[in-house]
Amino acid sequence: MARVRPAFHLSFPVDDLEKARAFYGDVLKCPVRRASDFGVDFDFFGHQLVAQFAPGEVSATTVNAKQPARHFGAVLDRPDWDALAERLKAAEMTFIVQPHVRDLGTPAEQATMFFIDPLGNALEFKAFPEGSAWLP
Amino acid sequence: MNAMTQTARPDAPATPQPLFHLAFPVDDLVKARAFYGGLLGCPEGRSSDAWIDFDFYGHQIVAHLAPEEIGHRKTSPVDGHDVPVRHFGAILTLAQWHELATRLKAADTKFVIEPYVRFQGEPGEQATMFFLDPCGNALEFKAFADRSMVFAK
Repeated sequence: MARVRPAFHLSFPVDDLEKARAFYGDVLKCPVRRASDFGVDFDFFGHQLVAQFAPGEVSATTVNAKQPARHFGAVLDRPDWDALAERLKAAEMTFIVQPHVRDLGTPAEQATMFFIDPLGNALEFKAFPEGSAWLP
Repeated sequence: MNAMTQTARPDAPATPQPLFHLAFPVDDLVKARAFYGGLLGCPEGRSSDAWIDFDFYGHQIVAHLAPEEIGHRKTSPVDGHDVPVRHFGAILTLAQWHELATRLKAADTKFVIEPYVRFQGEPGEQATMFFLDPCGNALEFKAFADRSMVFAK
């Protein structure tokens, strides 16, 4: 088997599994792989994302000065990042950080966007220029 | 698919897999550096006095100094164990998983779930272990005998 980067695994709390399906399944277009009354497994850009029904835990995400410290997302190719930004804008997502490129021309240059899903979890999607130390 | 893309990186999947990005709270960056950089062996990237980037099995994780956000309240039962709902980790090869389990045991890690094989004989058969980092974040590392079973129903 070709050597591949290990898939990431993240389990996070949601207060409404239907809302989770609508957002992660329909807006972010993550295929649903497994579901029960307690959780939904999504294929999140090749990673195993598990939304678990745990209403009391969701509010554990607090907002600091600019962005919640606790957040997740993926590093996409720039065309995929652009397409996602357009899809989120079309869905009238309210961004904490509007899609933009930051630290232009520095080693930290990256396209980024930051928003809160309809369940209260913070997400960030980035794209790095070719040659960035973060890219394989 | 042309020959160029196939020969450029023979170990890369045909479609590059996007990196995962996770930022999580810690209450002590020194402890975070010792655990993620030292014990887990994640190369360190950029850092400031408020956060540290680590290369976590090829993914970008960021330990943010945010003591007020650490911890978790909810657990859910998994195969007879109560594990924190909020957790993260990676799906390793069995060889990587065994090597990590050995390293963690040598470091006297207190496991929430001792390294073992669960769902034995079922489609989702997997090796798993579950433990907390020194800042209270829950980690789970799995390995599947058959990687195609990661999302088996």
